[in-house]
Amino acid sequence: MTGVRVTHIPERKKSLPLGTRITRLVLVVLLAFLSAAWIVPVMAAVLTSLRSFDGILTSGFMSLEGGLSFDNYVRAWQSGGGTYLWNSMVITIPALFILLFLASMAGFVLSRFDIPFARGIMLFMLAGNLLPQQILLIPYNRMAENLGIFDTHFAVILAHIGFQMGFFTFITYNFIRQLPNELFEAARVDGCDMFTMWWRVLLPVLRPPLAALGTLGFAWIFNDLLFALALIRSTDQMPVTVGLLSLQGQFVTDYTVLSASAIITAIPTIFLFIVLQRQFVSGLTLGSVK
Amino acid sequence: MRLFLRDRIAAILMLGVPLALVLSWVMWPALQSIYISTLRWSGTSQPQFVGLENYERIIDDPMFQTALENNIKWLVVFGLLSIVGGLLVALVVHEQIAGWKFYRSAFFAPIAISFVVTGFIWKWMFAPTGVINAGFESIGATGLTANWIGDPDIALWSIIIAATWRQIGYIMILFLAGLKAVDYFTIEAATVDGAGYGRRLWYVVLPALGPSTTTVIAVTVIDSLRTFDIIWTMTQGGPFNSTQVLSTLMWREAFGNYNLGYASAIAVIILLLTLGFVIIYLLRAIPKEAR
Amino acid sequence: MSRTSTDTVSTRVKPLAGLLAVLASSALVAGCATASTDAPAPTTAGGTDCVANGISVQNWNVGEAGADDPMLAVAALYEETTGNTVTVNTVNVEVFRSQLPTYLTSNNPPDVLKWLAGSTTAGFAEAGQLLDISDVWAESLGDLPEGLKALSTDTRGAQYFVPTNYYWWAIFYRPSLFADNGYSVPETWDEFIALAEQMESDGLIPVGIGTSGAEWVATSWFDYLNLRINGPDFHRALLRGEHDWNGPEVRAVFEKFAEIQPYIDPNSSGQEWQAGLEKFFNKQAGMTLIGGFLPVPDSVGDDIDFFSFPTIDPSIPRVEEAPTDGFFSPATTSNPECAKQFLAFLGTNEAQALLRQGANIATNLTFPESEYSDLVKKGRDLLAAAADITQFYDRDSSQALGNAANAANARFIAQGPRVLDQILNEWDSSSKKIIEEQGLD
Repeated sequence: MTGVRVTHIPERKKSLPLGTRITRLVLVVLLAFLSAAWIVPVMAAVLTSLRSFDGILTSGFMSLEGGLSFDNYVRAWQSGGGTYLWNSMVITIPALFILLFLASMAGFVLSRFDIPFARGIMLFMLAGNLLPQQILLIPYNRMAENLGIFDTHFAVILAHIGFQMGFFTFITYNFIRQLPNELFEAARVDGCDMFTMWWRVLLPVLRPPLAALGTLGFAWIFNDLLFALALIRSTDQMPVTVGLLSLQGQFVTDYTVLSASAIITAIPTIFLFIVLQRQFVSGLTLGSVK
Repeated sequence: MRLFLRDRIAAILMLGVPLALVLSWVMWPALQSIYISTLRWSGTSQPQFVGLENYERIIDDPMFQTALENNIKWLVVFGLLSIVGGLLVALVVHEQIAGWKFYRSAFFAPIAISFVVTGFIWKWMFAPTGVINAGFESIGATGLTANWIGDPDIALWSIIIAATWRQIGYIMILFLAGLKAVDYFTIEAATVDGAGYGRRLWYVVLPALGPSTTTVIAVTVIDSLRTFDIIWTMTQGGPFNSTQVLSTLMWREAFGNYNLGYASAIAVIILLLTLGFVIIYLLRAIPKEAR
Repeated sequence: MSRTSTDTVSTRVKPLAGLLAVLASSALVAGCATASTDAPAPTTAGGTDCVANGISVQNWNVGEAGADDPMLAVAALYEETTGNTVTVNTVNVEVFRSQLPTYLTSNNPPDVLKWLAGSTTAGFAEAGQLLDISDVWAESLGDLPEGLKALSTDTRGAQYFVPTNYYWWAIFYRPSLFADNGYSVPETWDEFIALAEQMESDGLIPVGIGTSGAEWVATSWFDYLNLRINGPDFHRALLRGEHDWNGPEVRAVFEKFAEIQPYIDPNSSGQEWQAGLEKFFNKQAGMTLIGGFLPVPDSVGDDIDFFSFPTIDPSIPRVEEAPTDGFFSPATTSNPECAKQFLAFLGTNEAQALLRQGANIATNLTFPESEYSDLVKKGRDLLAAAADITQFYDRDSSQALGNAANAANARFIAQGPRVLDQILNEWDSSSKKIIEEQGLD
C-alpha cells in the first residue's frame, strides 16, 4: 500500500469491518432489542403519568384501564411542580451565564499569556470540580448563614459557580490554546487591549465550546441535589430535585402523580437535549478525549 | 505580546475573580471541613476539639465498613458494567449498522434525566407490584420476581442497575469520540494482512483508546465514591443499612444525628480515597509539555 | 495539540498574586464555619406590635396526599382573632429534621417551630437554644396536664415547650372484617397469636406493615414487647445504656417477637408504611400496629377500631406509648413577645381543635368531649388508664440510638429469628458506641 495517499476517507470506511452478514444481522437484532428495552423505563413512566390512580389500582401498571389524561400533570404542577421548575431556572440560568462569562476570561488569560504557574493554577481549579461535594455541604451551610444568604437561590448559584468553575475553565483553556496565534496578533497590532481582545475577538470564536458547556452545564446544575438540599429551607424556594423528594413524601403511593412530577422536572433538560444534542456530545468529549 | 498596564489589571481581574471564587467556594470550605472533622460539634453546641478521635471511631465503626464495602462493590460492578458496556455499545454503534442513529439516541437519552428522576423511575419499576415484576409474571416467569429494593441482599445491585442504565450512554459517547481518532490506515493494513476483528480490536483499537480509557476510569471512580442522589432517592441507605455508602452515611450523621464532626471526617475520607484518582485525571488532563 | 509558538509576555504579573490574596481573603471573612452567630439585640419594644412584626412558623408534614395543612387554618384563626400576622412555611418532615439545627443557629430563625417532645428537643433546651416560656405556662397553659408540663420542663425548672397534641399506639383492625370472619378481639398474647393463625388460614395477611424508608414503624413492636415483658423501668434503663441489647431480657423479648414474626407481611421492607396501611384498609391485612396519626380514608369511615397491645405478663403494669407533638421557639428569635403570644394561643381549645387532625388528642384538659370521635375517646381513655406513658424509642433516647433500633427491628421483621444473633450483637455494639459518645458530651 505504499505510495497510496487517501486524502479523504468517507465516513463508512472508518469502520472495523465485521465481516459476515450474519454477525451484522445478529447485532442489529440485539441492539434493536436492547435500545427498545433501554427506553422502556421512561416510556413506562410517561404512560403511568397519564393514567388515573384508580385505573392502576384495579388493573396494575401494564394496562390502559381507566383512561388517559393530563390530570396528574395539573395536580403535580399545582402541588408545587410549577414553583420548583421556576426555582430551578432561576438558579441554573444565571449561574450558567456567569460561569461561561468568567470561564472564558480565565481560560483566555491562562492560555494566552505568560502567567506564572499557569498549569498549576489550571490544575488547582480543575481539582475543585473533582472534590466530593460532601466535603462542602456543612461549611456551605454555615457560610450562607454568616453571609445572610441561607435559604436563597443566590447561595446555591454561588455554590455552583465555584464548584463548576474549574471544569468550565479547563474546557475553554484547551480550546483557546488551539486557536491560531494570528488571530490575536492581528488584534494586538490593531491596538486591542486584553479586555477588548476577549470581548471582540475571542468570544465570537468561542461559540462551539461555550455552547457545549452551556448545555452540559445546564444539565449538571439543573439536576443537582446536594447543594440545594443543604442550602434551601423553604418549600417555595426549592428546585425540582429537592421538590421531587418533597412530593414523594407527600404523594407516597400515588405513582401517577409522582410520575407526572418526575416528567415535569425532567422536561427542560430533555428538551434541551433534543434540540442541542450535538453540543451535549461535544461538551462531553471536549474534556475527556485528546 | 506586550502587556499594557491596563492589561495587567485586566489579567488580574479576569483570572483573579474566577480563581477567587474557586478559592472561597471550594477550597476554603474543603479546608473548613477538614478542620471540623477534628471537632465534636452538633451545630448548635459549642465545638470541642478532639483531634483524630473521629477517625478512630470511624475505623471501629461496622457501619463505616459496610459503607466502604458498598462503595467498593459499586465501584467495581457499576464501573465495569458501565465502562465495558459503554465500550461494547460504542464499538457496535460505530460500525453504523442499520438503525445506528436510533441505538445511539436510545442509549444516550437517559443522560438528560437527573439521578433523582432516574432513581425515582426505577424505584417505581422495582416496586413489588411494579413494572418489572409484572413483566416477569405476564410471561410466566414468576420465579424471577423479587423484592428488588426491599431485599437487603439485592437492593444494592438493583440500584446499580438503575445507575448503569443511565451511565452507559455517557461512556458510549466518550468512547465513540475516541474511536474516531483511531488510525484507520493501520486498520486497513491489518485487514489486508488477514487480521480478524478480534486482533484488530486488541492490537490497534484498544491501545488507541488508552488515553480516553484512563480518563473514563478516573472519572468513574471519582463519581462512584461520591455517589449520593440515586441511592438516597431509592433507598436512603436501607433496607437495614444494606445500601449505605459513605455519602449517605455522611448525610445521616450530619443532618440526622447532628454529628457534624464525625460526618466531616467521613467526607474527608471520601476525599482521601478519591485523591489518587483526582491526581491521575489531572495529570492526564494537562500534560507537562502543554506550553 | 501542542502550541506552535510561545506567546510570551515580558513582564510578570506580580500584582496578580497580591490581588488574588485580597479577593480570596475577603471571601474568607465570610467563611468561618464554626463562628457562632450572636443573638440579635432584642427589639426595643414599647409593647410589641405583632401586626407589623409578624412571626414566622416553621412547620412540617408527614405528607398526607392532598390534605391542607392544619397549621394554615390555625394561623388564619390566630390572625382573625388577634389581628397579628403569622406566616407559615411547611416542609417535608425529613427536610425539617435535617435542617433543624440550622433553624436554631440561624441569624434569622423562624420564630416558632413545630416539633416533637423528646430527647432531641430536651437536648436543645439544656444547651440553652430554646426560648424560656415559663411565663407563657404560668399565664396561659394552666389547662394542660401536669405530666405534660413535666415533659416540657428542663433540668433548671424552666419550660421550653408547648405540647399541643398527642396520640396513642395500638393494634388497629376493621370491625366489619372481624364480624364477617367471626374473629374476636384478643386480650392475651396467646389469643393474639391464635387470631393471627386463624387469619392466615383465611387467606389474609395477619399483620400489615411497611418499613421502607420508615424503619421506625418496626421499633414500635419492640417497644411494646419490651414494655409488656420487661416493664417500663427496664425499658428506660435500656435506652440509657444500662443493659445489654443482646442480654437475656432482650432475648426474651425476641422470643415472643419470633412468635408473631411469621405472620407479619413478608413484603415489609419493600413498601412504605402508607403502602402497608393500604393493604390494611383493603382488608388484605387483618391488623396493624400503628399510631393515631394514621390517615383514615373516607371509604373506611367508622369501620375502624383498635385494641391495646395484648398482655403478656399480667404482673407487669400496662404502659402505653403516646408520642407528643408541640411547639417551641428558638432563643435567638427576634420577636419573642409575639412568638410567646402565638404559643399561648396554641394551648387554647380552638387552636388544638384544628391541629388535632383526626385521631390526635388535644392536650388541653378542657377540650370539649364532643369534638372527639368515639375512636379518639377510646384512645384517650386507654392512655388515661395506663400505668405509665413512654414517648417512642427514638424520642426517649436519641436519633442515633433510634437508627440502630430501627434497622435491627425492621430486619427482624423481614428476616426472622435465623439472623437473631447477628441482629442483636450488631445492635448492642452500635448502641453501646453511641451511648459512649453521648456520654462524652
